[in-house]
Order: sequence, then C-alpha cells, then structure tokens
Amino acid sequence: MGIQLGDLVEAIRISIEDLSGKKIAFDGHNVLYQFLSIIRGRLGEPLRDGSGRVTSHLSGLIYRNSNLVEAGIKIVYIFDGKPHKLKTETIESRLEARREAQVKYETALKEGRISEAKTYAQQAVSATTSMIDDAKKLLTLMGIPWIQAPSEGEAQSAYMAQKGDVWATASQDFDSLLFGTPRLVRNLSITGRRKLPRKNLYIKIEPERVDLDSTLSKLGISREILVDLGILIGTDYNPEGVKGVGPKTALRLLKQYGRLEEVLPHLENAKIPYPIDEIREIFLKPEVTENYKLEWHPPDEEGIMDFLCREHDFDEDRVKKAVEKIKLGFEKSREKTRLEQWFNPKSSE
Amino acid sequence: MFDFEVSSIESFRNLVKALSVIVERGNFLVDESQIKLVAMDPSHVAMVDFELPKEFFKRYLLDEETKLTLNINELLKFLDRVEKDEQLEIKLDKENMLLIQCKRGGHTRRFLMPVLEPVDEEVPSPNIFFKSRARMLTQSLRKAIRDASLVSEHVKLEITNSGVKISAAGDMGSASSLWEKGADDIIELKSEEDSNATFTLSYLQDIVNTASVSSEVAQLELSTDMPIKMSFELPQGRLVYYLAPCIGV
Repeated sequence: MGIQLGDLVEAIRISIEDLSGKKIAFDGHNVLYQFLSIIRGRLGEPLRDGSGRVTSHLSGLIYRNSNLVEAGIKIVYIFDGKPHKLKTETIESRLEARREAQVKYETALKEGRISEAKTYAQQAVSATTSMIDDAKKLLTLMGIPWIQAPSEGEAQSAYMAQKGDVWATASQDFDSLLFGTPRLVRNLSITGRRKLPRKNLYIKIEPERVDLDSTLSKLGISREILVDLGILIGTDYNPEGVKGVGPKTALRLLKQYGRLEEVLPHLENAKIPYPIDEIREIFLKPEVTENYKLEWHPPDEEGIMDFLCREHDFDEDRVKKAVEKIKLGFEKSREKTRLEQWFNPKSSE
Repeated sequence: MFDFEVSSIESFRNLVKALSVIVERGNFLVDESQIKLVAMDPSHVAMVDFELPKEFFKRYLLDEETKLTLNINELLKFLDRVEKDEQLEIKLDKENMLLIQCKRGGHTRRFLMPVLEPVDEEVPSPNIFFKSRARMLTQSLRKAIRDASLVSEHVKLEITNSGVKISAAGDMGSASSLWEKGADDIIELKSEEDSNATFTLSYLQDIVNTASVSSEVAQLELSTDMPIKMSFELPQGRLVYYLAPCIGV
C-alpha cells in the first residue's frame, strides 16, 4: 500500500534513542495494520482473547508503545477520517484482495501448507471499527493523545509536523512525504527482525529517517513534482499509475519534460482515471483540522489492567511491566524537555 | 595572559555563584571589552548568557582575546575564601594557571587553579518570539517560587494582560501568588496573548535564588509551553537565563 518510493529516497539509519524527547505522530491505521499482520500465532492466526476477539493490535499498542515511551518518545496517534472519494476504488479492491486471501488461507491451512497459510493470513488482515475504537480506548488509558483526522491521517500528521507541533511522522508509507511531512520515520512500530515473505530469511529492521527537503534536493525536484511522480507510478487514488512506469523512469521523464501534463503525451496508453488536479489537491491541499490538543498524561494503571487483563485476558505480569515502562517514560519525557527543541541548533538535528 | 582587579568582591562572587547553578565547566571568552559566557547545563534544560564589561573591574589588562575554561565550582571555592576588605586580583599566568590573589595590609594570599582544556561545545542560538513580558521585583519572584516549592516539584507561570500568576499544586496542597496589573511589585506588563508554561522547580529556584542576590529587577518573557527567558538586570553586565518548560505535566 502507498506509493513505492523506496528506490528514490535516501534513508538515514537512526536509533530509538535519537528520538528521545521528540514528538512523533504515528499513522494510526498504518500501525494497526502492521500489528495485525505481524503479531500472529504459530499458524499465522491473529491473537485472540478468551471470547475469540482479535487482540493483536492491542498487544502491539501496549508492548511496542511502552518501549518507545520508555525511550522518552512522545507519541501521538492520528487516525484516518473519511477517505477521499477517489480512494474508494482502492479500498474496495483491498477488501476484495483480503476476502480472497482469507479463502486461500483457510484452504492452505486445511491442506497443511503452513508457511503459505501464514502469508495469506497476513494478507487477509483487516482493521474493523471496533478494533480502532479499542485502540483509541487503550491509548487514552496509556496517556497517549490521539487525534481524529477529518480525512487522511497522513495529511493531518504532515500538517502538524509542518507547524512544528510534532517532529516527524511515523509510518511505513512514503505517501507522508507527498503530503509534505518534513521528516518521515519508518520501522518504528516494528522491532528487531522481519521475515521476508515466502522465504525462510529474516532481515534486521532498524528505524530510519527520511527528510523531505534533502530527498527533494537530491532528486532535484519540487514537492509538486514529487506528487506528479507519485501519480505516475500510482498512489492510493490512482493505484494503477501508468503501466510500465516505475519510480526511476518517472523521475527521468519528469525531469526531462516538467509537469505531468507534459509527460503523458510521451507515453503510450497513458491514462489517469481521475482529473490530475484533483489528485494533486489531495496531497497539496488536504483537508486537515487545527482543532487538536497534544497532552500527555500519566498512564491509568488500573484502567489498563482492567481493559487488557480482565476484559481481554492479557498476562498480568507482562502488562504490569509495560505500564511501569510507560510511567518511567512519562516522567523522563516530561523532565527531559531540552532547550534545543526551541532553539536554532547550529549543528543539524 | 590577563590581569584583572576586582573592585567589588561581593558582586563578583555572587555572579559566579549564579553561573555555578547551571554550568560546571565554563568556557569563558575574555576579550578587550568584556568577559562572556554562554553555556547550557549538562542536561540542556537551562542556558545562561552572561556578560561582564571591563568597566566592572578596577583594572582590566589583556594582551589578546582568550578562551578560558574553568571549573566554576572550584573557582567559587576559592572566591569564598576572599574577604570583603581584601584587594582581589585575578591573573592568567604563563603556565596557564589561574592566579587568585588577595591582598590586605601587607599580607598576600595566593590561590592557583588549573585552566581546563577548552571543550568545543556548540551552544544553540535562542530564537524565540515571546508573547508576554513582565518586569518585576526579583525578591517577589523569589518568594513566590519558594511558596510553590512547599507543595510541588513543578511550578506554573502565567502572564496575561491582567496580571502575573505563579502557582503549584501537588498531593500536599497548592500554593499560588497572583499580582494584578498595577501591583506594586510589577514594573511593566505586556501580553499579546495569554501565556503559561510549567517549569521544573529545582532549576527555577536555583536560578532565581542565586540571581536575586545580584539583581533587583527581573524581566520574564514567556509564551505558552515554550522556554522562559529571565533577564536579571545588573548595574553592569548581562545575566540572562533560558529554561525549558515541562510539557504534559
């Protein structure tokens, strides 16, 4: 999902400690999908509580966030609002793909093809409204603020990052750059290592940072052209893009001809399903809200224990440890506001 | 090399003391017109911007601009031994030792302390636009912060067009001081936008306590949830602190 920019951007490897004291906006849906697809049982099935309700996302939220909070990161979650009408097609085709994956998963499982089944299981992930509500409830108990975006969450967090209310957007998707986030942090909500799909290989996952300005200047284009580039290779609003045009070709074409309108005549069968300006506007003038408050609170220990251990059968000792980490981190981040956050540092951040 | 004679031992010692609450290892810049120090505390929560012009000294001889790195607490220990009616001279000798020399009635005491290797610490330049400003008596500020220290580790400062408020609340109760606009202790008050921020009390208390000995009037500049700028007015020189707020308290 999201635009495939990986080949063009330069990611700087960072450590979690580098983010200590910084406010980071997490793309809520993106993170929940990651938790739901990665946090899985032996047969690729999601974690469930005693009543059969899926809890993979809650597990990720409490355990992963507690590590990040402990490191002094000030997390805020941004949840998607109403999707733009151009995205409906993408959403429908995703739903369809998930339904298919679910069928394939069940078949593979029945026939004992476990590793295949796991792959399908991950593809079949979907986040329901009640999962999102649970996530918001848990975040509130953890003292972590969350914001409901009017439309795209990534647009909202890019806006907040531009204003300086948060330092960066955390998401796996490069779309955030198109939305104009000055900094994108990737691989923050997943830990350690990740299995390569269909291979028995693990790769080490480390957080990395992509800076919009330096990416643009390295590519030699403006953000407007980056959006055009996205449209050429395909965004959530025109998932097909233009057939046969990958990131590198798109960049070359745009640098040669300028805007997208000038590029298209040079491509055979180039069709963009929607008016280009309308897609541009989604990225360049997105619907965002100024109406939000960023306040961090100490965790509600009793509330968390009730919700996770008594309602959803989590292990008490493990949750208690996580709560301790959140408490520590809260104290740490509150004491550790550093002057540099407001000053013009002479050395770059 | 330089050779200074301090005319007012008390004020000199008090100023060094005010620096010592923020800085352990101070990188002074001594030039033909002044002594300057801009430094942050080790945790980068507070910063001090200090200048003492040559007019403060009875004798101010300097052959070239000098960077002087000193352990401020060690310096203070020696200065504490100087008596009020002694003549105080501070010199940098050829061996790069700092000489503190006190003379009275034909009696000379000499203290030598090492000058440290300078550390190249990048100090960021403050670039904040403040929405509110209040000039007030340093003593009143000090007392209000002392009040707050009875109940909490954090203290909240508010400046609006209608007044200045310093308050704190904790498990042991709460404390607050409110000066209305026009209050005797408030010399000037200007606020474009209601501003408030919360600070770690220990820092604020150390700064205000030590600075209040040297300064009668303090100017506070504040914006919501931003660092506070505290300029302590001196007969000569500059003593300005920045302190980062606690957010989410």
